[in-house]
Amino acid sequence: MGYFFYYFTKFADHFILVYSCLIFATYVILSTYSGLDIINYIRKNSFIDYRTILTAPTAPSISILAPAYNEQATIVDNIRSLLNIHYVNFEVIIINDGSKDNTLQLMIDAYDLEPVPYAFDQKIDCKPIKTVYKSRIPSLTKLTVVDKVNGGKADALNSGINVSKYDYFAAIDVDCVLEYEALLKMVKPFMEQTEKEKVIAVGGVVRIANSCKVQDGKIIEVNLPSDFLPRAQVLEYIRAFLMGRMAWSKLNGLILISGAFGMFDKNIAIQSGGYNHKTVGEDMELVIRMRRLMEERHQKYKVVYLPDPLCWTEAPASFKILSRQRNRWTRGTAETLWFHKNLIFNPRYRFLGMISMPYWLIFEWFAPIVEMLAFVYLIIMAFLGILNLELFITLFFVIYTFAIMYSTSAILFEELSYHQYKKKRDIIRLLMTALVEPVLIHPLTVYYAIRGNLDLMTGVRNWGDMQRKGFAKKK
Amino acid sequence: MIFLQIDLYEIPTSADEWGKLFYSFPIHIRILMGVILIFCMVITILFAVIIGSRIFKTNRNSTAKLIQRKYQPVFTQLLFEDDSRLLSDSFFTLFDKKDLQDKHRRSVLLEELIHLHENFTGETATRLELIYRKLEFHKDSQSKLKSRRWYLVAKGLRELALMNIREATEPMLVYINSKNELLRMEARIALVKLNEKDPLFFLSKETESLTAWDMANLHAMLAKLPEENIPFFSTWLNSSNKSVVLFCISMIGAFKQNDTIPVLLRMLDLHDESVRQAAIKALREMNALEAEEKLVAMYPLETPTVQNEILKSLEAMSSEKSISLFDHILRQPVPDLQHSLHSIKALLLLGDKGKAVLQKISETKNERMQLIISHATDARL
Repeated sequence: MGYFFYYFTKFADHFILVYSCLIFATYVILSTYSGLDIINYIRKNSFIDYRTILTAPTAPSISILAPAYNEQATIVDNIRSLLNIHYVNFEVIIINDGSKDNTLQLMIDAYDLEPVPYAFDQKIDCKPIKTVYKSRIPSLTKLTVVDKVNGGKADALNSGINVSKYDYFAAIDVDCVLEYEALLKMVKPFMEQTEKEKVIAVGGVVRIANSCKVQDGKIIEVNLPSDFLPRAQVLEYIRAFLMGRMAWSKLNGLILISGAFGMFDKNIAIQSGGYNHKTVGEDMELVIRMRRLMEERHQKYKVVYLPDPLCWTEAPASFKILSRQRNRWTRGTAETLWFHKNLIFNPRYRFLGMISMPYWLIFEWFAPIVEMLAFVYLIIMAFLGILNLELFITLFFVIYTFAIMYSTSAILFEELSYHQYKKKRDIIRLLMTALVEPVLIHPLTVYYAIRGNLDLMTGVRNWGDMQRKGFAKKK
Repeated sequence: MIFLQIDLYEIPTSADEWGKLFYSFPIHIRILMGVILIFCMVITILFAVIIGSRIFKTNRNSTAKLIQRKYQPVFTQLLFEDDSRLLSDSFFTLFDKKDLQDKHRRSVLLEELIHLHENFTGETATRLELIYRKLEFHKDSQSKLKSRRWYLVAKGLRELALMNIREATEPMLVYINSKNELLRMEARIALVKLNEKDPLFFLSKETESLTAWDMANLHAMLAKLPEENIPFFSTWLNSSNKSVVLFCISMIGAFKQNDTIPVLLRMLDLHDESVRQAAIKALREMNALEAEEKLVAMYPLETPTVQNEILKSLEAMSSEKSISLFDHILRQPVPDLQHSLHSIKALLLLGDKGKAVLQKISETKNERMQLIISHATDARL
């Protein structure tokens, strides 16, 4: 028994150390790759006039799909914002997913909607569509409202795909605020594709709009969130989007495009089967399935990620809402990895199977579990009186200083790239947030992730109520 | 790695004591402490770089504003007043030697010239080009073409094109087939700009594919040219580069070069689906009614994508010759939705004869067809 205990603790110590070193190494590699790619992208962007797309005969037409569920607080303004997107040929399809409040009636009243006979092909199975509405106002021909039986976000998007006219669709959260040239920037990678290499999906950076000034559906002044919790999430988002996903896109290993805003080749999405309504991680699951389809067809393809801030969304400002969000993200990740488990370490799927999927399994899904187990291990060692305090303290400070270093690098990336936070005090506050976030917020996110895994094992499938304050009209 | 006792230490008071304390730790602890120290140093450097970059940018912006304010009256004088100063030797006295010799200030001046040139045309633009040459900025731009950094090459291409340095055409040609797609695009745009009489002369030298984005940029450049300088795109329809062929077909339609219709009609017999599709679209844009019979004959043998393009064209051309085709499409047991919509819209444009066909079809009591007809006839959709 003594030998077993001795070797077990030896193994545990080594495992924690090696796992930590591997995570550090991957973060450093990914952020280096991302940094170089962002510099390249910004340099390229300085030569691009996106307005060229507005008069281009080769510019594709886009269907914007925005599912809505109980959005009565902001739906009218949100639709107005979408209709004013800077693009030429597009349609806006709002899918009312069986809202229990006045979402539908508010839209009908505000936009003078009436039922129309609408023929479409049901290319993807979804819950029944009750009515399709169009406006009597001639200038609102771009707007289509679909009223359907409640089926969840994935189901709503699938019905939007069925109803849409065009070859590309952009899936957007209805309460997101898009940047002025967002659609132009998202469309460009599709226009750059060749016969040899097809672009199947494009994603962009989602930024946090808390404390920003919003007017007429546009961000008119960018501010750092005044509350600590959303401010900590700003750091998280910069780390994840600017320092992580850019690298994955460069390596053509990206398997996640944010559900808040992403653009897809409709044909490929349909051939993949559309959004999966059996998971709350439908955004990630669709991208993996589309990639899988292309791999199985041996067709060269790309999933592109743009570092431009294209979309602004409200981050959870309370721990309760944050916990629901992180819980859902964990369940979505776990479900998606489970659905596609036969891709993991499968050489048939090349980079997707050998690198991307294993990385997400080991360093994204498994990381909170390792952290929790390491914490429990430390408690047990302390309880037994055999905790190596020197090792514990030094390891803690290694991890803590690495976290600060990584966050500070993220702030530097943001500063040198898009420089969204122009006020000096915002940068100072962000730097201060980087000092406390690893000890205050990160343990909570680990806890929420563990809860997510437990909830998944006990059969929880819903989204949870993501209450949002909405972007109040601020002057 | 496991120890059985927890030691507490007294705080050292001298450097020696700190050293002794440090070396009293096991080697792996000392390594970890070293790592912490490195991380702290990196954090400090990052902090300094963040603050420093702000200060640097602020200073740079201040210098740029200073230069702009300083030379605004100079440019106003040179551009809008009598040109004697511009042509005389006293021109150089208007510019501070320090500003012309300092790299950053010189580049700010150049940026200012470029910015002004983007906003002016005619004689003012010509004067700007003269200022650009007299200050030897064309040498700066030409030296950028030799840089190993692609973004400097791209900048040089843009500057030389904007400032009409025609002698730079030859060195630019090498970039139309660069591996860097942005350099290819900039080179093409520059060559179009600098060779207005024969803007697409380089197309026959293209070995790389033109993407839809490349085509959009070329189209935008061509749209700015006087009508008499728009080339005959049929010149390149036999190119071995398929993307060049597709581009030219698209431009024939966009610029309505109706003389090329017979050539496009022959292209409908080609094997390549994308070429046929592009030709059909161009014929539609030119409202080439002579294509109608051929399109009707082609329809049954075509792929769904090309069939859809044919129907869009027939809808635009809309004559009674196509009625039987529309009727056939709408009577299919499982009619294709898009094909049906185009057919119905085309029939509606054919007046009473078309409406009579629709009336007969709507009497067939096919629910789906009823819905499709309602959809197609609804003005809101």
